[in-house]
Amino acid sequence: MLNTTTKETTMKYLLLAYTPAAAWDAATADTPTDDALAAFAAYQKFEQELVATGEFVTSEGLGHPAVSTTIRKTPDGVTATDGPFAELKEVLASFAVIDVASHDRAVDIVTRIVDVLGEPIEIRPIMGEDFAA
Amino acid sequence: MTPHVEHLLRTEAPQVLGALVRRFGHFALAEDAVQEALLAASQTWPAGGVPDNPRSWLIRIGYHKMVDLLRAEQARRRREHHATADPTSHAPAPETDDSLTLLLLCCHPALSTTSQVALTLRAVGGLTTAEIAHAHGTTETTMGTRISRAKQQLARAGARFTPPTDTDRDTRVAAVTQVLYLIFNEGYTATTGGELTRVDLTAEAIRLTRMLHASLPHHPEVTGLLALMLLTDARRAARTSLSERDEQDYHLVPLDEQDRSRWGRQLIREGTDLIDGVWNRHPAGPYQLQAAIAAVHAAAATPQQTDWPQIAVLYLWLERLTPTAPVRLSRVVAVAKAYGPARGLALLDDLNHRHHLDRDPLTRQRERAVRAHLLQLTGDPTGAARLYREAAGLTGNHVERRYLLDRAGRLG
Repeated sequence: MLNTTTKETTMKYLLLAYTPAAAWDAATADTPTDDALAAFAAYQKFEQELVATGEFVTSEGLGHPAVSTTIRKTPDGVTATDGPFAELKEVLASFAVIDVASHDRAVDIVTRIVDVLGEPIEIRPIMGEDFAA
Repeated sequence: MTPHVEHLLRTEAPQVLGALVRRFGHFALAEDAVQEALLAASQTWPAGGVPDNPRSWLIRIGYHKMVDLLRAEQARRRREHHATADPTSHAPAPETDDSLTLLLLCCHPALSTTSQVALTLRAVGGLTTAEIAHAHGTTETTMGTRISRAKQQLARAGARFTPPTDTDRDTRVAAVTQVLYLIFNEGYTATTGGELTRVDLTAEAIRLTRMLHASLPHHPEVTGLLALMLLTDARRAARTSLSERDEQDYHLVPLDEQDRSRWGRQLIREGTDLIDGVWNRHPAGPYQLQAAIAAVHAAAATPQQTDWPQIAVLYLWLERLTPTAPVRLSRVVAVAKAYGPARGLALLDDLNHRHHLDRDPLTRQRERAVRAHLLQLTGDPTGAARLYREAAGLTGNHVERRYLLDRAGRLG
C-alpha cells in the first residue's frame, strides 16, 4: 500500500555484492588487511549517511556457499542438496536493500560503495505494487 | 595446557557446537569442526594469550573448519537427501540453551547407551576421542568408530537440533540423567582400579550435571541427581585406602569404617541443600531418594549415629519405584541395622521367597555376605562361616575374597 504522506515516490532495490569464489577464503580470513579495514570503515560511515536519509533498509553478510542448502522438487519428492543452487565463479557475498527516489539515486549510491569496497555490485529493482498484476 | 584454558575450552565447547549446528545444521561435521577449533585454541592460546571473546573466536574458527569439511565433502559428491521441512515447526526461541538441546540430541533414543555416553562426552564435554577411549580402557580407533557410527545413526534417525517439546521433554531428560549417572558411576568405579586416569569421569559427570541443572533448575530429578553425585563424591577421599603391602593396591573402605573427618564438608552441605530444596515439593523420584539416603548417612558424625529407621523407609520407597534386587538387599541391611539382625533375616527370607535375591546375578554374591553377617550376629557361626566361604567363591575381586575368607576363618 502506498503511503501518501512520505516516500510517495521511493522504490526499493536489492544490492547484490559478488566476490570471486576463489577469493572467498582470503576475503573472510581472520586478519583483514589494514586497507580492507579502512575500506570497511569508510563504507560503514556511508551506510550511516543512508540511515540518516532514510534510504537504508537492511544489509547482511552471507555465509560461505558451501554452508548453503538448496531445496528442489524432484520426481522423488522434495529433496535438499548441500551446497549452492549453482556453482559459479562469482558468488554472492552480501546483500543490502535500499529505498530510494530513483534508479539514478541507486546507481549513485552503489557507485560510491563499489568505489570504496572494490568488488562488483548488482542492482536489482524490487518490484513494487504498481507492477503487480 | 593450563587448567584455566582447559576449563574455558570445555565450558565453551557445547556453546560453540550449539551455535554452529543451530545455524548450519550438519551435526556430525560441526562436531568435528568444533574438535578442530578446540585443538587450534589449545595450541595457540597458552602461548599467544586467550582472545578477548573466546567463544566468538572458537565459533569463527569452527565455522572455517566447517566450510573446509563441507567443501571437501561436496567436492566428493553432491549429496541429496529428502528435505525434512516441517511447515508446522517453529524456529527455536533465541534464548534456547544450546547445551541442553545438545545433551538431548546426544542422548537420542535412536542411540545405544554406550553411544550416548561417548557422544555426550565428546560433543557436550569437549573431550577428545583419545581421552574418552582412555577413560573407557579402549583404543582410540574403537572409540572413533563408535562416535562416527553414533553420528550416522543420528542423521539416519532424522534427529533434529531443536529444543524438546513439552510432551517428550520428561522422557528425553530421563535419558540424559541416566547417561550422566552412568558416566559418574564409571568414574566412581574406575577410581578403585588403582590407576589414576587423566580424565576424571566422575568430575566430568558432575560438571555436566551442574550444566543440566543450570538449564533446568526446577527439575526435581535433575536436582536429585546432582545432590546424589555431590554427596557420593564427598566420600571420595575416605572410600579408598592404600594397601600396606603394595602401594599400587587400592582397596575399598566400607561406609561404616570410613574416616568421616575426611568427608568433603562443602560438598555435603551443597548436596544436602539441593535435596532439601526439592524434598516434599514433588513426588520423589529415584535420584531424589538415593540423594536423601546419602544425605542421612552424611548427617551422622559416627556410624552409630546413623538414622537407620529413616534409611529403611527411604529404601522401601525406592524399592516401590525401582524394584531391583540390589535395592531390596540394601533395604534388608537398613532394616537389620535399624531393628536388629533377626528382623533383617526375616525380611531377607521373605524377599528371597518372592524375588530370589540369592539367585539374581546382581545380588547372589552380596546376598550371601549379608546373610553370613546376620547369622553371625544371631549366633550361628557355623552357618555364617559357610556363607562367607560361598560369597568368597563368587567374587572376582581378590581383595574382597581375602576379606571374606578371613572372616570365615575367624569363625572356624
